[in-house]
Amino acid sequence: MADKTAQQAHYRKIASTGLISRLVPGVRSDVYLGDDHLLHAKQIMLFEKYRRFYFSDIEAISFSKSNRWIWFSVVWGFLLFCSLFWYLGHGTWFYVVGAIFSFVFGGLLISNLIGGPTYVVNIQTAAQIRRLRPVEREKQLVRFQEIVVPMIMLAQQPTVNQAAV
Amino acid sequence: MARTVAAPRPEPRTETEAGCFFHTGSRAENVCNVCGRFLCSLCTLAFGSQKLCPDCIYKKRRESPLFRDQAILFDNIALLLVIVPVLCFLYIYLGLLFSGFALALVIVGWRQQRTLVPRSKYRFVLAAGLSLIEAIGWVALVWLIVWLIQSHPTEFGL
Repeated sequence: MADKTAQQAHYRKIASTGLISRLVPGVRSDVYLGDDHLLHAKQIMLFEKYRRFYFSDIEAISFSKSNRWIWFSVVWGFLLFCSLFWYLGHGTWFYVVGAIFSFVFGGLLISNLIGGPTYVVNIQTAAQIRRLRPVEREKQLVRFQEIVVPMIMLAQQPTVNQAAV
Repeated sequence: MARTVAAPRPEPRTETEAGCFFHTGSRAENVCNVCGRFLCSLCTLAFGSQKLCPDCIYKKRRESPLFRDQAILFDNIALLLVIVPVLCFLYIYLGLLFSGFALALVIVGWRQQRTLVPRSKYRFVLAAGLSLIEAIGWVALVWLIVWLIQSHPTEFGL
C-alpha cells in the first residue's frame, strides 16, 4: 500500500523501463516527479529502493548515444531468423512452434526498432552520479528533458537577496 | 538525498558565539528545521531546502515518507512463496506450509506495505488466490497418495 501522503500529494510517473524489465528481476525502475525533487524507484525483487535528486542539487544531466539499440536489433533479428528453421519441419506442431517463436522474436525486434535509439543517461549531483535507465530511449529522454530541465532551472535561479549581494 | 560529500571544516567558536549542539567547540552555522538545535557545518544535513540534524533524520526515517529510502514488497514475497515451491520438489513436503505463509503475508502486507509510489494490489490478490489453490491441491495430493497406498498396499510393499 502506498503511503497516502506521498502518493497523492507528490509523485507523478514520468518514465519507466520497458516491458521486458517487468519480467527480469532487479531491472525494473521508474522515475517520478515530485514537488521539488525527482524520485528514482528501483525494484529489486523483494525491495523497492528510492533515490531522490533535489532540483537545487542537480548539477548536470549528461547523455551519450549507445549501441544497445543496434545490438538488440541484431540479436532479435538473428533469433527471428533461427525461428524460421522450424518451418523446415514437416508437421503441424513444427509450424505452431515456429509461429510462436517468430511472433515473440518478431515482436521484440519491432518494439526495439520502434523504441528508437538508446542513450546512456547520467544525473549528477555534488555527491553522486547515477544512471537513469528509464529515460534511455530517445523519445523518453526528450520528454524527460522537456519536463525536468525547466524545473531545475527554476529551482536554481538565484534569489533576489543573493543577486543583490 | 542527503549530501555525503565532505562538508566544510567547522569553524571553532569564540566565547560570544553560539556552539553546535553535537560539537560544542564548533561555531553554530545553521539551525535544525525540526528540533531547532544549533548545528555546525559538519552536522548540517541538507534535504532540499531543509536543514536537519542527524538525530532528526534518524527519527524521521520511520515517520515521514520523505526520508524513507526503501520499502519491502510483501506482495512479491508472497508470490515468491507461492511459486517457488511448486517449481521444485519442496511442494510435495511443505506445500501447505508455504501457502499458509503466503496467505499470512498477504493479510499482513495488505496494510503494512508502504511504498512511496502507487502500487496496485493485484499481486496480493493473485498471491492469495494461488496460495488457496496450492493448499487445496496439496491436500488433494496427500489424500490421493494415502488412498493409493490403502487401495494397493501390496504394490507399495505393505
